[in-house]
Amino acid sequence: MNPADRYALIASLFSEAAELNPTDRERWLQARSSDASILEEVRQMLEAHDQTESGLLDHPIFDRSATSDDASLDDPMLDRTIGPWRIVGVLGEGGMGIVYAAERNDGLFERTVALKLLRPGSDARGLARRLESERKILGRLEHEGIARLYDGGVSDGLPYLAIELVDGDAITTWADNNRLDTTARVRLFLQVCDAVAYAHRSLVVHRDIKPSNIMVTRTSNGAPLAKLLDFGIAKVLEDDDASGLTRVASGALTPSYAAPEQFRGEPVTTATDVYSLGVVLYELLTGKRPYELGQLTASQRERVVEETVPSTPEEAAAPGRARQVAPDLSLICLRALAKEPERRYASADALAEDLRNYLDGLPVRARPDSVAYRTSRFVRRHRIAVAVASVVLLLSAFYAFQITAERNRAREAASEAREAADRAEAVAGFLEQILRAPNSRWYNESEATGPDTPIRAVLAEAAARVDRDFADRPDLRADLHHILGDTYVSLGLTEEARVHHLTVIRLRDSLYTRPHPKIAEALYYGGWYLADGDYLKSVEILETAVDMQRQRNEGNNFPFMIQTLSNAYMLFGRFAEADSILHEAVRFVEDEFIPGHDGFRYRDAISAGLAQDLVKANVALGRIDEARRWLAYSDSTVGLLPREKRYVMVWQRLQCASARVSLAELRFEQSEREALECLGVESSKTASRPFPGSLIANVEYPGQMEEVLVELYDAWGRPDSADVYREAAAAFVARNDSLQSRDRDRDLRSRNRGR
Amino acid sequence: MTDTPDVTQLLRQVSDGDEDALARLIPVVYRELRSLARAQRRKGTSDTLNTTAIVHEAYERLVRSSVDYASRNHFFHVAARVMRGVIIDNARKYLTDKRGSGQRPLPLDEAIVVPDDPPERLVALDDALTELEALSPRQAQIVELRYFVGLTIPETAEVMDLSEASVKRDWTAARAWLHKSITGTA
Repeated sequence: MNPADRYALIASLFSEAAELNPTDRERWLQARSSDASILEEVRQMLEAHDQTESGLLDHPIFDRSATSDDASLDDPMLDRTIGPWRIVGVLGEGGMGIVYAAERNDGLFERTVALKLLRPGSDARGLARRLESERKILGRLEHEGIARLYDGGVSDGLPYLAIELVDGDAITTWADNNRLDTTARVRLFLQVCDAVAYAHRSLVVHRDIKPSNIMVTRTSNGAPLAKLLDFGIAKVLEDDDASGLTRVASGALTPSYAAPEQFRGEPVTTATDVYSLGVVLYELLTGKRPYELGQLTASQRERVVEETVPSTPEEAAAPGRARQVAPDLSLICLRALAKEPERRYASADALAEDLRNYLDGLPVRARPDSVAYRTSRFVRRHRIAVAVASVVLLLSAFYAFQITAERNRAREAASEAREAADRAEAVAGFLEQILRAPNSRWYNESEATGPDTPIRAVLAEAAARVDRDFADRPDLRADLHHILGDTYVSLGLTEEARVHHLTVIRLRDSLYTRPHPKIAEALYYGGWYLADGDYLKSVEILETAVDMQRQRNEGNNFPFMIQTLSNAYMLFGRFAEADSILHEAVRFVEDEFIPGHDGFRYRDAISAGLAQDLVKANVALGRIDEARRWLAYSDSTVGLLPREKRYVMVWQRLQCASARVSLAELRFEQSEREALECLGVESSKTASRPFPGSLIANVEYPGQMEEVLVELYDAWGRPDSADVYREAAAAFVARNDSLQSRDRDRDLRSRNRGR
Repeated sequence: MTDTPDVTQLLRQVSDGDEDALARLIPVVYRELRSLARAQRRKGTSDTLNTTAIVHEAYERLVRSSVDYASRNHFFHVAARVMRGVIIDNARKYLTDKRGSGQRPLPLDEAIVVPDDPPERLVALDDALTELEALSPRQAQIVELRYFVGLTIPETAEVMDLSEASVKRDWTAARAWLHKSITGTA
């Protein structure tokens, strides 16, 4: 062992032993090392450490505390008046200037503030600009987690800022001094996330988040309160940055907390702050930083941050220490520390959300390299052929799922394993051929003829190949026709879908004996084409499919089939039947679906939707109390959903369900308000966690809103208002995809009305 | 100060490991610190020095434009070095002179303040610190910043870009080790 390594070992043994009770140290040391000379040196250090009155290095060689009075007396600023403030002491000195403690001088009220001034005589132009920028930014921020701006201006030619004086410690120090456990640390950190999220919503990126800029103090009732300080290099996102602040900032960055893009001098986003928050969280949890950069040169630091992977917090937290870091928490931290900004949480809100998931014992969304991430990377790499590729990816995603399912089953029987392998290989070959086709034939065309052509061309090519390539595999042929049909439907090409869906039914009926889930699926998707315009017959086919699925249930289709059937029942006014099968579906979902499965709130989104249909059915049946119970069920389930775009529709449908109940109780104004909130008004009282307006604005709201509004205004005696929505409501029914065909829905609707 | 080299540029070179730049930087920092110390002494009534203020001020004066963090770290490192050099040189000189003339020498420069600590002890500390430097340069730097510049733990953490917890840990260990070394050899 070289002397430096030997000393490192001695120092670390000393540090840990010094924290122990003196009587326990000897036994602990014996257990850790058998090297007598090392142990002796540690013992001597501990002895020196325990001599409280040693005097050595207790004070700096020139003790500042002994000189501080004199120094303050020396300070020409002391007792000077700056605006309404009188300087009473020095709080600190930093690169940018001096921070003084100052009191209000005009006797209006008592208040001590931190007064930020530029150092007199320093080259002040750039710094003055930063002070001015900080004043503007703080002026738009008002949050209990951000040290607030009291005053700012220029006095006798000196620019100054008066900022709330936070009497506390840096968050890491505070947590250590108060011996917080991991949960308490996370809760304290959440306060910081909330403050940063607030700044982000105000389009401000802090850019210098680190423990010394997060002071923790206590509120009047003793609760800890974290406050974010120093927006000196913060940036307003909408600025074009003509001021050159970015350059100043890239010089002033704090390497240990700076994101890789800051080292590279690239634009900062809210994800940049998320990275710094990740470092702070890492340090709070483990007492260490992800990278130790202190002794490295500038270029070495950059390389370390860009290229190395930190230990997980789980590993970094010293084993055997009182504080341990759970794997989920570790994952959250690493997600925030991802090197590519787009792989981090997009905002402090999203980070906070996942931390709350962790605290609530819910699954967290931080998971390394998800399939979705890899897919998005793939698409980005092949941007040119993305239109073509998306269809192919759709096919391959389905088959990846199928192959996994097959693989699981294959564990049970060897023969089935061979079968699955054959199958996967056959499909992979097929996909490869389709995947390669654009490279040769359509690549040039796709640029010439616009993005729509290649999708249809790929589908046509696949459709042409399926029967030829899989002549001896009718089961695979059926599966592929199913994908083709479904893809056509989702593209709105319902007529092109017809032949494929009918082929699926024919093939599967000849392959399997009823009842069989594969046949149920074929009927569910293709029943409309089979009924060929006969609406009652299509409902009967749907009933057959549901019944078949009920007898041999495999896969996840059942609740969706029931939801489709219940919607059909309700169009025909058969609300009691709808109510009965929806009950069955909710029970099924609760029993069979895994909560928070796979990181997605799939189950919650589905059961919330089913409950909303139950609200509709029960309102129609006049059972308002029952409707209210289902509304509460849906409400609490929606509350579990992350505030993400894909769940906005579920929340909007909840608003509509709520509006239905209010309408049934003749509370017209409330009903109107609830329905209109679908459009993005944020003040929802219904959902326990409303979705932010920025998300809602990007989502096409559900047609139920118009449907409810028409009923509401008709009942309210405002036919003119009702007329505004009547056409749109009809259009909604027309585009409602639950029965797959626009025509059928429109006709069903008119038939229902005609009764 | 027209002949002053571009300190900002020198600092960049130092932070990328250029030894020559370091050799050119030290006298510049030394001159600046000394002139600031003189000014402070003339102005003040105290017979001690506010070293922290001097180093900060020297930084402000010498480094005109913004530099990256590594450069700032190196500036403080250099300044701490200079402080240590001046104080220890003076202590050694005192010991030599004492042996020679038996008289306590007057400071040669009004900028130099005689510390309270006995010179024998300062010299012993300097020797132990040189030894520690070979074992853990980081701990030695923390001691220099804390003891010779007078930075607090948070300030040291800030300058060195370390967490306060690791500064505290290193500082405690370094102090115990130095103490052990000095008393062991005394």
